[in-house]
Amino acid sequence: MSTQDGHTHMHGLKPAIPPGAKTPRGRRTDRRTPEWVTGLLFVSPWIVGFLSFMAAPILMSLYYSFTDYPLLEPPAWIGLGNYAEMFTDPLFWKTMGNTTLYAALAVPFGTILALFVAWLLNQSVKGLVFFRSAVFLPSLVPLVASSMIWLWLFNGELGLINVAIDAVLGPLGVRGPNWLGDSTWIMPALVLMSFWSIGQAVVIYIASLQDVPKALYEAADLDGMSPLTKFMNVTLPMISPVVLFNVIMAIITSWQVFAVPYIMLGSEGGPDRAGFFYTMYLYDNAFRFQRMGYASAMAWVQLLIILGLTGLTFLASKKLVHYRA
Amino acid sequence: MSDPGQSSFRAADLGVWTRRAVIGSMAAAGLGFILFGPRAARTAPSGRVVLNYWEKWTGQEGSAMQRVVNAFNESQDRIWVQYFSMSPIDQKAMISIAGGDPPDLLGLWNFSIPAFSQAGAIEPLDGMIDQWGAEIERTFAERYGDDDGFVLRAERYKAPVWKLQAPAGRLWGVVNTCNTLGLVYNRRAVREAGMDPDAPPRTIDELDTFAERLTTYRDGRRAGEIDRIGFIHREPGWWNWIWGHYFGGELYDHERGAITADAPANIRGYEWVQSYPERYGLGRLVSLSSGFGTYNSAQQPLLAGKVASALHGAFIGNLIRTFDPSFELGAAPFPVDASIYDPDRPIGLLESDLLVIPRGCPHPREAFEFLCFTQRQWSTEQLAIGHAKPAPLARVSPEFEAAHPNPRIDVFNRIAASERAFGKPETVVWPQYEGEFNAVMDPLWKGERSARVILEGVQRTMERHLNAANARRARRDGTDA
Repeated sequence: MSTQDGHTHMHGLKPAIPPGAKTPRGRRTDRRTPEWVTGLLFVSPWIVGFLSFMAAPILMSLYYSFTDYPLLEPPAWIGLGNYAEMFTDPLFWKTMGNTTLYAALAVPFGTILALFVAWLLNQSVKGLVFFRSAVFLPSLVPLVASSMIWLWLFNGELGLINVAIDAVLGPLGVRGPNWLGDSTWIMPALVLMSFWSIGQAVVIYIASLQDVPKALYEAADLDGMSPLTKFMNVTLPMISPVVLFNVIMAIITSWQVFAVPYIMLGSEGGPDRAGFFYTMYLYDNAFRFQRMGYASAMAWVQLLIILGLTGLTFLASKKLVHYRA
Repeated sequence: MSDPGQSSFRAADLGVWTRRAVIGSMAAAGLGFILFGPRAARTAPSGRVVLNYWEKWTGQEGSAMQRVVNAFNESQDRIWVQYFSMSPIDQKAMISIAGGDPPDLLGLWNFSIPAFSQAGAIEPLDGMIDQWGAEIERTFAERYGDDDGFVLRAERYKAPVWKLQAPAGRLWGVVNTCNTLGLVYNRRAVREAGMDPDAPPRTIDELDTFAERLTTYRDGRRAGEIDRIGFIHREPGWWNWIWGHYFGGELYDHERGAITADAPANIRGYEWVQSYPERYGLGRLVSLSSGFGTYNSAQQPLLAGKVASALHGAFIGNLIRTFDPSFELGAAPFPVDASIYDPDRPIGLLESDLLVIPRGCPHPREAFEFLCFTQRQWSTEQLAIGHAKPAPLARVSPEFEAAHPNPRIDVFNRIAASERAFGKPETVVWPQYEGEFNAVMDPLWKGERSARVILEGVQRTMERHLNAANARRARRDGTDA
């Protein structure tokens, strides 16, 4: 609430003091700290944290990527040696292949599943709050805990998944596979497990579904559109920016997959390294093989790959994503 | 509804808090936390030199080490050792040493020594023995009544154990616990199969027969599937690189510094591994092993009755003590090829946990004193009993075997003292080497390629790694020209 002299007298706010006047404690207001300095001081913990723990290590890792750095000894400059070595390193390509395959399966199927679940949870049914909570809850479970749960779920004999397969298909002679002990089944198991944490994407999709103007559906009904046509021609274009956002986030996280396969399959990613991912090999090089320089180069290549994929997704989205005016 | 203006507490009051009041409140809260907040259960008494000791153990093993630490802390009033358990200790140790802020003492493994010593990241103990050995010997004699000389003498230890801590004659650390591997088996199952549990297999051929007789099959809907396997190489699956040794092979020629993965004896070892899925059926073994529970649980396959015998360490005694004290454990040196069988010289892996002093240790004299304390007879036996492992010293006290949780610790002690006990190859590329064997077990097991072809692949991969590591070393040392 402002009075005629322009001073603010709202509850909870101190009355403004005219410039040059003395404050109750006797300090002149023109000697007060400028607002931008106060602002900087308030964000300074973040700035200091960012410079110390993000910017500096990022720049240092760029330097290390051009060195031979066994961690316990000083780094020695080797130019592009680490980057050149990647071309002839079979494990680099193996992990690159595994990660690409994982991303190629987990991102599209995860997106479709999350959209479908969001659509279901956007219907008017009883117990909606419970179902929404149930879908979101797994994404709150710590990775180590969920890995332990899935270790048991994937147990070939006692695991619930194989028990269910045995119950349904057992009479036909079909047995559940050795999910984590057989190189053929490791990737499907990890992709299946990735669906466990679609809750966050689902919540975002629900919000965007509720934001689609009802008038568009009414117009579509008048045109006699089927539910599928309505979804493809009304819903999907309207929520396409959100889909793009979720797809990009999914690409980034799938390219950084580490903790779950490391916990469930060990440092070599299980039999035949079927679950050995790029970040696991990067970690091995840094801390097990003491090759911090090579690991830094791998990290930069990974950054470039993710940037490239994100850029490609943006390019591809130009014709697919509809932004409301 | 009351008038907000008349209320004794007004929401608006919150808004007139000055910045000084907010910061003051936060400072008061911080001070309160410092003064009255949570703190470690035990703090160092004032006036003592505090040593930070990083070790890898928790649970029963950690408690055993803590008992030794407590005994040391209580036995004198100058030094206080703080025990910190952390994982993965070698990686954290590396970072702390590289960052110039290491602990005083570190618990590594014997196979960590090549990488750490080559980089000068740990201190050799020889100089410390010369400098402080006599003084510590006198102190221990006065304080503990020790009358058998200085603790760090080769003759006190089992010869292979001393070799682990002093490769190439230089002492890099001390063994606080050691482990050997043998064949462990379920005596009750052996008896029920009509065999003598006191006559375990000695050769590979005998093991094959032993395993076959112990293997049982299911009835009913899953008839023909294996219910219990007599022996399986992939349980627990921690030593996938080992099998050639039982045919006289070795993975590394220390004299030439060369990889020998595809040596004929190693190939024979892995042909033997490959014979099991051929003999029992890959599908049946896969189906059986898919139901194996995790190690540290009552579902551990030996305890759960899914496996009748396995390659294992003495420390399985702790598992039995925890989950099934009624389990009848049998143990013997692991069988070997008949051509190299020698009952007086069993073959087995010997590995150890090693206590070292890192480069940049803040209190080397005090750290060395504690390190010597861990090598007293009492300390080594306390640890061995707590960890259910063999004793590193040549002679053990009369109480040792009686108090040990593994009733067949004599077998594992014998392996530790054997001149044919072997360690993991001492090469900087060991992590990669071990990883290769872990990775090839699946194609080997599935019979996708012959053992020879697979080991030739391992040979090529590891030669490439070793050559690259040697080239990096030479470039760093300036000897690559």
